[in-house]
Amino acid sequence: MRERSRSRFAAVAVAVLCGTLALAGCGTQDSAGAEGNAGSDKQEKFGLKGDPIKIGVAEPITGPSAGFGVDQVTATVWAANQINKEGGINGRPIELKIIDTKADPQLGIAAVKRFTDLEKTPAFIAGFSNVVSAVAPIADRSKTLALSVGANAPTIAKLGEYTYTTFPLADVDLTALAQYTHGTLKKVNAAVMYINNDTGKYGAEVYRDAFEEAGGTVVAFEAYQPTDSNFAGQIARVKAENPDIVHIQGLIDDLPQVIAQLRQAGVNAQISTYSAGYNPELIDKLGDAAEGLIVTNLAPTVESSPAVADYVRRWEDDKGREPNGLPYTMYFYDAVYVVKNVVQHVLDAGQDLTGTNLAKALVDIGQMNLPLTGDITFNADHTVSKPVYLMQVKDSKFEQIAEIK
Amino acid sequence: MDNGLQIAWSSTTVSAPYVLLAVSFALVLKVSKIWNFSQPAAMGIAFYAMIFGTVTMGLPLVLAVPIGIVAAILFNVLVESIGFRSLRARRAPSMTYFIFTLVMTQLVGYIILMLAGSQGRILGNTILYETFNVGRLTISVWDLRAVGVAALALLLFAMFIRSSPWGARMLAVSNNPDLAALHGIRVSTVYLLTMSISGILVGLAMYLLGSRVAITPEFGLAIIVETVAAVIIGGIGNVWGAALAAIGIRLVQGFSVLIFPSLWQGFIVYVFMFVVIIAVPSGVPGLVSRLSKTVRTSLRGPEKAIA
Repeated sequence: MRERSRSRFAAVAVAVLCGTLALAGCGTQDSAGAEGNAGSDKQEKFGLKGDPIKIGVAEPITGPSAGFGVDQVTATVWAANQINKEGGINGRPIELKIIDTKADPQLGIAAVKRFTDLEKTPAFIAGFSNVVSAVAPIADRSKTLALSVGANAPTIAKLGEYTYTTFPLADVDLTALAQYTHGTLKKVNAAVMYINNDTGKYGAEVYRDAFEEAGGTVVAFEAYQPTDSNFAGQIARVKAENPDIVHIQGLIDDLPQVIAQLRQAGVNAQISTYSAGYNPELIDKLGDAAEGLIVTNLAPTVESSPAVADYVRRWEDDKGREPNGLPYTMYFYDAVYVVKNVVQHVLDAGQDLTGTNLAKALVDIGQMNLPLTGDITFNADHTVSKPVYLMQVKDSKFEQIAEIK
Repeated sequence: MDNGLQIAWSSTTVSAPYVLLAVSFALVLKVSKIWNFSQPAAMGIAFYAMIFGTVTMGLPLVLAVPIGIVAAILFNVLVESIGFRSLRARRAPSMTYFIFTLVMTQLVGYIILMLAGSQGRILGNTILYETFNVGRLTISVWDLRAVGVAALALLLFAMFIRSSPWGARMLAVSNNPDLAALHGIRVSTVYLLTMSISGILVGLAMYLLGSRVAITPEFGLAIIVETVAAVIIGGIGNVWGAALAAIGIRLVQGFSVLIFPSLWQGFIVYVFMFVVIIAVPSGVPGLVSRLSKTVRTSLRGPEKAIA
């Protein structure tokens, strides 16, 4: 009897738990309903009968970075569909082969090996510095064009012969930011706080070197661990130096905490960060403490570009929200167009569709005008040149304060 | 000096939720003799149930927090009544418990990931709290809340253990479950009660953590090593030792920045935990007990010789 009542209690408990979890899901954004979200944006060929041109996409669709990854994948699917709708490439549709990496290098390697060994894609698109770094040697060995999107560690340019970035590396926007804050805003003493990973470390070093080269002094250079939630020690050291500006090189999940704790500790100096901070969520979490924050942005805004306005409207119509990391998704969208342009170039030249020919075509073409991010120049040293937009939070919204070419 | 005081205060207040988690883990280990690695799953369920309460139902936090606590209790009761009970009945080795709890954590983590997404979430509208100064010390409303909630929870827990008949039964079962059963104590009920209390502590910890930092479905797994380290350093079976060790780890982490480059902070904390665990496997209280015994013996020695 007792056993039966226990079983009944257990069954009720299971039901309540499942119900709670299911309902909790109802209240969330669809951002990391990862597979479902990406899957809801079906790839379409619009009746194109030619042999598909396969392009790999290695991105986190699950895991901690899926909030960004899913939206970036959605952007690539939209771009491929748009290209196919407009006739594809010489009548051949683009077919994306999307594989989840969880932003894990090991899974990235497995994904790219599948692209090169099984799917035989002549090119692939990949995001996240750690994944791009891990898969670059495979791109070289298999002579496959690897397009890095969103990863901004300066080392990306030196990863290999076949790895190119479509995204400005950290030295582009951080150098512009450091020069602007010293030269225009007249900040003399800077403190730098950074997350202890590739993105944080390299970006912080670039900012420090650029700020000092511009004539300023970096008075504190403090790291924090990715799992930290208490930055009292680092903030105490920053506060002791009384800097004019604090630059934070972190990730979207830790940036609000660092800024909140700085403000709570009475650090009232100007705060800046890079493009990871260009996210409305940051303002939501920080409220008034976000006011005055300066962030970099590497893409045109809704206000300055009708194409971007249309793109954001589509997100709001389809998903009921803006994409996570809007500029990153724009670069992913345009990355498919970069592939289209180089494939077109190779096919028009009557060459075979190989990674070698595609990589050569990228440098030969050099300048492109892309649908969302506009003009871009691919340099032979595997970097790109782009204007940098500086944004500042004013009245709980990002406003452009400078464009640096 | 000011820096030291501020770091000591911040590290202590930030350790409040970690203290609750360490006490929860140590309690289950003491009474049920199980290394409960499903605690991160309970943490995730508690937090996302609170998110459900605030976001989906539009409830104020004061009502959403009990929902999270109840969800954590239900989960822990399920783990005990379905998992641990059947493993005990089959006389499963301790490694099976370990694997079972880890599997539970991974399973729940994936379910939460699929349902709620992987983006970091916070409880309430902001993680920015009002601050005020006491001398050169900056204190935030969250600091007071964390210390208050943790202190009150631990006080009630201590009173329950010391003064209630069920507390006495828990102590009896933790000492010898077979003997306790012979004295008429329903051991299975004590195990359920232990997991329920663990659920309450976990729920309160997640309320404090979620109102300060962005929580992801994998958050619990990321800090379980620190929790287990606190339990070992505090002395296995010593619930209050685990609480003090959790504070100690945070203090070491905070103060390490004043001595070593901040880049080494994570490394220093793990070196500290490694050294203490290797040097004092029975925990700091065990070391203190051994030392005091040695001192007593050496003091008694000459007396005996004289006698």
